[in-house]
Amino acid sequence: MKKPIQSLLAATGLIGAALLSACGGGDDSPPPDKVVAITFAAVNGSTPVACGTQLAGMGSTGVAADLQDLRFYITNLKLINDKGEAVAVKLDANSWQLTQGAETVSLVDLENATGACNTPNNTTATHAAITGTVPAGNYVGLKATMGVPDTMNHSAIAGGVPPLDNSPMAWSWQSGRKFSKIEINPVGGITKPDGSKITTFNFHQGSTGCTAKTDASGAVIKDAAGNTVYTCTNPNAMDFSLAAFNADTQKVLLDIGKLFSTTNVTQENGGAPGCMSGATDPECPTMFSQLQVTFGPGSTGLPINGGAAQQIFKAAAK
Amino acid sequence: MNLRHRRSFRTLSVAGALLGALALTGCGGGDADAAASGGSNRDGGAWTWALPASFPAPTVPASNPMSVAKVDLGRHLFYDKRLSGNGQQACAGCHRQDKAFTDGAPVSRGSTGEFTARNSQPLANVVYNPLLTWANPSLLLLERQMEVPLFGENPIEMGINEGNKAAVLQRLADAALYQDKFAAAFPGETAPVNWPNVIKAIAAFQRLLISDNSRYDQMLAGTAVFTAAEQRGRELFFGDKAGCSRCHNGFNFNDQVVHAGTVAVSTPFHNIGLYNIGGTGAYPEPNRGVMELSGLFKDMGAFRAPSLRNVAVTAPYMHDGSVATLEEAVDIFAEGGRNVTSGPYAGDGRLNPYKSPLIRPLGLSAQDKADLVAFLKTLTDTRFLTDPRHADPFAVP
Repeated sequence: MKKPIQSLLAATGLIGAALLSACGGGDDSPPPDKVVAITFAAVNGSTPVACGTQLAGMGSTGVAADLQDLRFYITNLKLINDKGEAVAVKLDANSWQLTQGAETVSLVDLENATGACNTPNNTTATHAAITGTVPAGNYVGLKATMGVPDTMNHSAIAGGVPPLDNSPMAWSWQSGRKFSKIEINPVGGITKPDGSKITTFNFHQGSTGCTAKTDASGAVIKDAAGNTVYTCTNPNAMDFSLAAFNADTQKVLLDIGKLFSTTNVTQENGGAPGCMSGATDPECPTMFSQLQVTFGPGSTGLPINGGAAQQIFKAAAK
Repeated sequence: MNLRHRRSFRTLSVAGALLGALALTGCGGGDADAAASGGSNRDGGAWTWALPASFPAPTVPASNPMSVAKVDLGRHLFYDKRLSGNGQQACAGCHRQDKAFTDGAPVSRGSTGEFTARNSQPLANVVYNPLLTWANPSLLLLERQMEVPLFGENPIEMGINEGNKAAVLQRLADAALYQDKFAAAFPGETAPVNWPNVIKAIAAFQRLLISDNSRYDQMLAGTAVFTAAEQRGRELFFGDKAGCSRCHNGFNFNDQVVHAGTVAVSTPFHNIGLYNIGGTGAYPEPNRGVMELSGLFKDMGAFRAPSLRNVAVTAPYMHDGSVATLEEAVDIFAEGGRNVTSGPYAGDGRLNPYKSPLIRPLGLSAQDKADLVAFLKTLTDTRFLTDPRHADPFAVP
């Protein structure tokens, strides 16, 4: 994907210097890589969000709600340097972070199984900071995707490589994964058209319309490892960037108040409870509008202008 | 050919060996060399299929070859309640041998009391299914499909979750029975009690569930003779007037089949006019068929045509179990759909705009319908329903 950026990077003085030094030109050693920790946190507007603390003013009706789940995958995290180049963060290898080829994915887990988050599929373990290194340089911004690379998305859950083995993030009906799993329980419940009530407004973001990819003759296409390649009509991954971001002094906030702000989370008008990315789910268009991803039958499911107008991710002081 | 009816997600034009490769995808690397037929495990007991001439050789993923030890392990796991989160339900809870591995309920109850949206699937001849479940074009492998009942949250079925999945595995590892059986099924592995192996073993057991000895099969083999009613029903079934075999055809009485000799797989789904809520074409949520995956209205109410083998013991019928008897099911097809006259789902399914054009009033007499039912009952395979190799190993005799 980001080949032009890599080409650009290769042309920079930074890499040039590295090459020179490798040739034993008597130059100083290349500066060591910069260690970074990109910390994520959730807010409701300006109020910190945590399991067990009620959220005020959620959704278009401003209802109070309890957080039940807050997890999401971040893929291909990059820092933007002062030349405007997006430089991939080389991830530390751990059970929350995975690199396969040129693709990286991390699971950000901001729930700790307390309060309303105390369900069988929540975990006390959390993962707020994506850690790794970037080449030495001056970094001024960030870009990333909330999603899972398509090459990793459709692998088996059982026995999968962490963090792709996380079963709550499984998205079996599309043979993939939930990109984000954000769930709230509005006080007073959620009313269905027949008057009955349900408890949880789910936001499950993921690719839809997924089928095994076939070539012109109809044969199923396999990757180098022999696995089926899937293609999804609606990828539904969210791109975002923060033009001004300093990983040393700032963290990335996910404003779930903003995420739900244009959706009535007290009403369930059809489809899955809440929005589970179904193309005809009436609760989804407003949710995906906040993601700045095109949505609906026949749409591409792609980010709108790279997510330039999104407001749910933002930078704030650590 | 009517393209709308032959609603294929894809036509897989693949030679047999390549198709073997297709069937095993997604289970990790190294599966490129597919076994076209059967496959054996040198250390776990060689595997051979014993099939009548009318049945083709199945395809088995090279990543999960059949073996005697593996299907033995899989059979025990399939019937073991310890495999659910709360220890209350086995796979067999919703897949009972005497009901051709369905459960007799409209929809199924999971281990924690939640209900599925759909009617339990029969497992007979599941090895020949290129796609799994009622309406999912993305589920190609039993090993992947099984993640749904094991780990699914909406609804909870077996109830394995992040909090208990290590403990459930430990339950199995602690049982002397399984220490031996996992070691035998996965020889050479230092820690064979793991989720991928649990899944592989159950899938191997499911693949041996072959129903090939019904009265119909015996009739084909010349060892049984149909009654006059059964024979009339057979002629109607395969003839133009009733036309049942347009979707329920071949050795497995369905239209989605893959086997070792398959050249092209087609995977059509059909709207048979069961619903037409308010005349809009809508099926009730959460059972709108392939549309729920594709997002396209043309796929409203599109489900696969199930195999009719053992159909007499798999009531109630249809994706939502909304048809109680075989006679009622035949009536619906005879009328070209179902007119729901009252309630929240009222609407004349016979006029559903997304309905397959093959589903139309057939002009069948009461005798014709009775004959069709008589024929359908010949598809019951008593040996399959009582075969001790398929039975609960924990049952007290």
